[in-house]
Amino acid sequence: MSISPGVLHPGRSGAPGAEAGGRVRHAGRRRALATSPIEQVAEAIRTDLADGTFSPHERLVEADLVDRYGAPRAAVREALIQLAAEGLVEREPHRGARVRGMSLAEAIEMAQVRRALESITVRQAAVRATPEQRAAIVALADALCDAANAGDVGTYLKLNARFHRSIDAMAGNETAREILVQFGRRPIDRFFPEPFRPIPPTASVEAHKRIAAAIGTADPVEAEAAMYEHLSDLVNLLRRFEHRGSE
Amino acid sequence: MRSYDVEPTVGGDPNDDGGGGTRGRAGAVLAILMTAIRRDLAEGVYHPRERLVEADLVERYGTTRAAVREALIQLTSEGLVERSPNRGARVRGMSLEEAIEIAEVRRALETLCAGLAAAKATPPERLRILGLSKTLQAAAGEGRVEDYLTANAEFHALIQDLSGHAIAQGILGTFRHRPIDRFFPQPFRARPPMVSVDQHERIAAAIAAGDVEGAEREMHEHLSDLVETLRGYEERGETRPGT
Repeated sequence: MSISPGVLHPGRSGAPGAEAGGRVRHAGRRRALATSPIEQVAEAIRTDLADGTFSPHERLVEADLVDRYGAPRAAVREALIQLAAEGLVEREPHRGARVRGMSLAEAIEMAQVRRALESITVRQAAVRATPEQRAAIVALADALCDAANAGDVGTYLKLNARFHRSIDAMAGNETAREILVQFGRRPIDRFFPEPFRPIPPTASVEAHKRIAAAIGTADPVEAEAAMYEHLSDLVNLLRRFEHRGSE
Repeated sequence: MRSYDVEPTVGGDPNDDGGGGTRGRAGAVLAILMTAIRRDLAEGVYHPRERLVEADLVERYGTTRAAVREALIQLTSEGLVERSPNRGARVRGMSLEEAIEIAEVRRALETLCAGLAAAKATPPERLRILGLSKTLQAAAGEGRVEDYLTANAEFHALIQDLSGHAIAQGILGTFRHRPIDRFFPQPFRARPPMVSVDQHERIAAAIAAGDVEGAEREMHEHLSDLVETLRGYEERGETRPGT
C-alpha cells in the first residue's frame, strides 16, 4: 500500500501539487498485478529509489527514463503519475517530476511504524523459519559484523537492508510485509545520512547478532525484544538529530 | 534570488505535452467517484463478494461509463475489488489469514497510537476520550448494539487522531474500507460487550492520566482478544466461522 503525500503531511512535503487527502492505496495482500509496461517501469523506478540510484529531490526527466529503461514515453509518464500517487515522486506543473524529499518528522514516524511492524515479523520469523533460513540469517549478521570491522560502509548498508527484508519474508504476514516493502523504497539513511555517520554503530552490529541468534534458537520473545530495542535505537537516534543544536 | 532547477528545454515542464487540461477534468470526475465508492464500501453498502455491475454503478453514482471502468481498475489495484474474466468485478472478500494479518498490524499500530495519545493529549482531549468511554458503556449497558459499534469505531478513531501520527493513521485508514467485522462478524457479537467496555475504560483512563506504558499495555491487550479469537478459528479449521 502507499500513502499519498497529502495524507502524510499536508503542505509539509513542500510540494505545491500535493493534494490533501489524496489517493491511498490499500494495505492489502497484493494481487498478481498484470505486468503491463507501465507497471514494469514503475517497479524499475521503485527499485532504483530503494537502491539510492536517484537521490532525494533529484529531477526525473521522462526522456532520460525512456533511455534508461528502454520503455515507451507514455508508459514512463503513467508510471510517474502512479508513483506520485504512491508518494514516492512529486510532480509539479511546469516543473516535471522529482524524487520526493522526506522531513525529519516523517522519518521518525517511519521508524516508529517499522519498530511496530518488524516486532510482528521477527516474532513470526523466529517461529516459522526453516533450519536453512535460520542459518542464513545468522550468517548475514556475521557478514554485517565483518563489513563493519572492515569499515566497508557500502556493503554494510546493503546487507543491513537485506537483513531486515529477509526477516520480513520469513514471517508470513503479507500485509505487514507490503507496508515494510513500501518503506524500504525510501531508506531513511539516504534522506538523512548525517545521524548514521560514522558507520557502523557498534550497538547496531550487536543488535543484529542478537536478533539473528534469537531466530536461530527459535525464541520469538527474545527476537521481538531484540528487534524492538534495535529499532528504538533508530527512533532515538533520529530524535537526537532532530534536537541537535537545541538545549 | 531563488534559483530553480532549469531543464534544458524551452517552455517549462519537459514532461508536459499539453494534455494536462483534459486529464485534469477526467481526473476530477474519477476522484469524486473513487471517494464515493470507497465510502460506500466502508459503510457496508456492498456485501463481501457482491457483484459490481458497471451499468448499475453508472446509474448509482450518476457518472460516466469510462469513469466507472477506470475506477474498477484502480480499486482492483488497491485490493478492494477483484475481477475475474467471466464473472466481472466483485467486492473482494477476506480470508481468515488476511483478517489475522490485519488484526496483528492494527494491534501494533494502535498500541503505538495509544501511547502517543497518552503523551500528547491536552486536557480537553483527555475529557473527550473519557466521555467516549462512558458513551460506550451506556450503549453496551442498554443493549444498543449499533450505537455501541458506532461509538467503538469513534473511540479508536479518536485515539489515532490524538496520536498525531500521520503514517500510522494513513495505514489504519486503509483498513477502514474493509473492516474485519464485515467479513467476520462473529467475534464482535459473541464476546460479552462488558469485557470490551472494561478494556476501553482502562485505555481511556491511561490516556487521561498521561500513562504512556499503561495506554500501550491496555490497547495491546484489548486488540489481542481479536487476534486470539481469529487465531482460534484458524486452529480449529473454521475458515468461515458462524456459517
